Amino acid sequence: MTATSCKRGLGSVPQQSSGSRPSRSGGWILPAAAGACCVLAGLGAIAHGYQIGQYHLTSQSEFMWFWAGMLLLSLPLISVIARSATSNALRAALLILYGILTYAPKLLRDPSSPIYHDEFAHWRSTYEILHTGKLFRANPLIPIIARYPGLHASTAALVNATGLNIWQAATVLLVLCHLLLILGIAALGEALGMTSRAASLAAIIYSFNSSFLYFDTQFAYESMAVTLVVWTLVAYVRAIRARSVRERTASCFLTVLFSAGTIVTHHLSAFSLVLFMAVIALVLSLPWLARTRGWVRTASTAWGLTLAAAVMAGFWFLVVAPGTLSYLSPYLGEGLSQLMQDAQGTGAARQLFGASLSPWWEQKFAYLIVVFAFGMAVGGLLLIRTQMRSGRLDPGDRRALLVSFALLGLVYFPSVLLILSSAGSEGARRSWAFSWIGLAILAGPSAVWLLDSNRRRISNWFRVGQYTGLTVAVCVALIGGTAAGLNAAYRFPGPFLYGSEARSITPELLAASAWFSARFGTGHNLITDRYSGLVFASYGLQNIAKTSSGFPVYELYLANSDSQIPSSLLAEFRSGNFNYLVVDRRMAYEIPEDGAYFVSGEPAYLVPRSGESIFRGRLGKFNSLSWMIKVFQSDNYSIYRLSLPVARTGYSSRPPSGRGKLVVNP
Amino acid sequence: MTAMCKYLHRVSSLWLSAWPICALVLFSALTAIHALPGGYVRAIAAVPTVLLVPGSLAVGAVFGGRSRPQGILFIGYAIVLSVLLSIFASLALYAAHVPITALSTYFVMLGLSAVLAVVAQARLFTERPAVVPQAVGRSEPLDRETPNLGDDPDRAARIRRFAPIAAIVTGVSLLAGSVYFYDHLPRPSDAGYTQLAWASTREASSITVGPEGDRLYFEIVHRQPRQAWFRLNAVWQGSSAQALAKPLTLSIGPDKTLQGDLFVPAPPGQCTYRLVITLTEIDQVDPLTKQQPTWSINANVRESGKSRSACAQ
Repeated sequence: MTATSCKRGLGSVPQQSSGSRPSRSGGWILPAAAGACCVLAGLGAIAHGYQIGQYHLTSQSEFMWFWAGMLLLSLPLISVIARSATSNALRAALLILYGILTYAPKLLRDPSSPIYHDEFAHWRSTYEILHTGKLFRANPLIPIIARYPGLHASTAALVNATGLNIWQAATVLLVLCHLLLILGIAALGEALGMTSRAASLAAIIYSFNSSFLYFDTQFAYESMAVTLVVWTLVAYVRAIRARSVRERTASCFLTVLFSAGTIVTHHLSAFSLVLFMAVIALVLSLPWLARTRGWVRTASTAWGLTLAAAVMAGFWFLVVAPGTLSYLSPYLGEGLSQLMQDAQGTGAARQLFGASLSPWWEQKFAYLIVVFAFGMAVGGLLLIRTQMRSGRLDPGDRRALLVSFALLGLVYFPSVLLILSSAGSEGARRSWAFSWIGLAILAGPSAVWLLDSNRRRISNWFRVGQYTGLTVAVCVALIGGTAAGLNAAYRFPGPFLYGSEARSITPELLAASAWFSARFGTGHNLITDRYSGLVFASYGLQNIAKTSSGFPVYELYLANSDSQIPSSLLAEFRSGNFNYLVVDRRMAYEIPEDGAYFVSGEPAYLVPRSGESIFRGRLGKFNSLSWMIKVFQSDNYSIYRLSLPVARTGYSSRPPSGRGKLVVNP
Repeated sequence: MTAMCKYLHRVSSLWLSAWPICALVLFSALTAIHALPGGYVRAIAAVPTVLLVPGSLAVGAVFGGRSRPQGILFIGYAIVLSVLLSIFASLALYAAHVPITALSTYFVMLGLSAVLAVVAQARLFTERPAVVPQAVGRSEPLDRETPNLGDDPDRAARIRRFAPIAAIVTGVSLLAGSVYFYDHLPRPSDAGYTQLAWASTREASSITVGPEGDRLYFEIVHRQPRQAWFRLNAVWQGSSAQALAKPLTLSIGPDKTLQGDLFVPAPPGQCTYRLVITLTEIDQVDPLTKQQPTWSINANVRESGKSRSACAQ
């Protein structure tokens, strides 16, 4: 018995809203049971798809099972959320369920430990806080993340409060962030004056962006920051649209607080947030869009909050994280420059899905997501135009806000071009999590318009066709959006795949790292490749050499003999206290799946198109160099101790005749 | 009116009039939760408190009673604020040069929550309930307006109250269940491996051997599901390898770790010599090299008392 039913017992009369259908008691049980069966079957199918993946490098059936599961899981929820007859409260509950359940693909991908590159780096930073009690500790895998401790600090706080390990606490936090991201888009839609239905559909459409299922669910700072960006925008829009001073003050306060949280968590999100706020403030200052009573106050609020966020971001970038710009600039600068070269015919355009393990239909759907987004955007724009012409969207804050979100959403289309350049593709993909906020806000009402348009038709065949078409469009968007993000090796478990970050972690590598830490301790400076370094620099708590053009570690591997190793490199090893070398012998036989042995952006000649490793026959020298002592070897990994500086004399080439004795104890 | 209804009514009234203080009491009870052993039980008890209470208090303090957001907006603000407050607490501790520990974080959060609870409670007492609906909450649809056909007020009130909680509990249970199910599906066994390594750090640098000789210790780890046969060899490395010890043939069972040692006689003269221990698996072929799988480690040895610089190649 609830307090509400008690109130009814106290004499309140149950009210029937006009136009409501008589509620049939128990009529919901059958659909609910069918929905529950679909969800359970969907989860089972996803798990089965992953299980198949573990046995094969790639197979059609793992993709089929996975997507069958995802569609079983999501389509029933989406269809009930989209129904006009669904109550707002039920819609909110189903949106919560959708938000939680769409975390399942990532959760099942790595339920117990990190697997993606960035996850190892963030694991290490969180570990450092827990074991040193300090923030801003250097990170050997991604140095810049040390200056953005938001995610690590909150994970460490959760570890301290709950007694969970780092990965479990991170998972709890990420499930919440994922859920809040969906709810945040819906809250943003409602703050912009949409119905609960349109706002919920905007949230569903947002979930089709390529980062939603995997990239923004990984244990990385952007996964938390994108949620913070959305909630900052919710508070920002509510501050702009508030009708009372009290509410405006409260929403302004929250906007500043949320902006600060975003800024200390992730650089690109902070940039995007300030950009979003600036565009909104600018559009709110345009008279033909925003002029109405209280217009100046609204624009002043927007500019004031934007200025506050910009000042905080500027302070953080300049004082706390001065390396941010140099870290980010190559992604955009080189991307644009490569794109220009491609346009002029002087560059080599990046081949999309070049070495992809995805089936053909996933790849085709990935192209269609752009068409889907374009259609929804055009629909949204036409709807805004119609409303403006009919006088239902008068100049004012709401018109200005909708136009600014539409503008921000349209940025998605030019950014798609950057995917054609290898340097720009990374940045383009990361930008979609933000541009799709605007796109979703634009598309939500047009989705409602599409769903309701069949009421104007007579033919049942047309109605069936329309629903079928919409269902197909949702399927294409869900599959294509995900496929346009991460490649199959990231999304599906599978056997070891050389040079794939998500499939490089083996018991052998973990054992090698554990042996090294147990024998020599932690905090050593190591030279190694990108994939071995993930484990040595995280669980192993070692520091690894960060390869760059100024510190070309690969020259050590490339040299045919002792004399070919550049002395300047050896001097750098010595000055940097790099005393150990970890070698994965497979680099002499295989080309890395991710296209880099040491670091993305390494010289292209290291990964020749012939398919034969450039390091073939060049790693054996490490066994005979007098200044390297081999202290460990497993099936694939060897560890050497470096005695630097290189002595003028080595070991004798004339071996003695003295006899010793080998003994092995069982 | 039943006794249960009276009781629910009283609890409901108490909660509505003093929820900030009740929430603060709940947060301070985390000390009791900390006494539980770390694990899922403690996590289930602590997670909702840690991720909801400080943020709820902040929402109450910032908005007061009249314009406090409801429903999903309240939950969203509360969780985001709880997370952010924990980040700001860590930053404050760092700035104050106080180590970030479970205890220090808890006390800072408790202090923050206490301040927020007092402000929220004060605003609750001093403010009258809202009479004007909030402008922002009003929907001004771009899409064609349709009546909310499912919104029977009484039923909707019940759903509104419990559906989000039910959805969260259902969603989390389904996620946990799917992980359990996936964890219990058959899967390929992990690829095994074999290791050969020195058993101490001494061998990592040049070793001095006295006139009576010395022992170098090593270990063989065999993490394979099957027994295998190996040949163990020790040689002096040079222009032509010279046997150092009589080779051994070993049979190593699944998941075994063996300890071994190599007795090294005093090396002659003033030179540094390199010795190599090699383990070769018999009757197997390495798929990469198409040869017998081989593991090796090496070390540099020299006679004690002799200067390394006197040792010529």
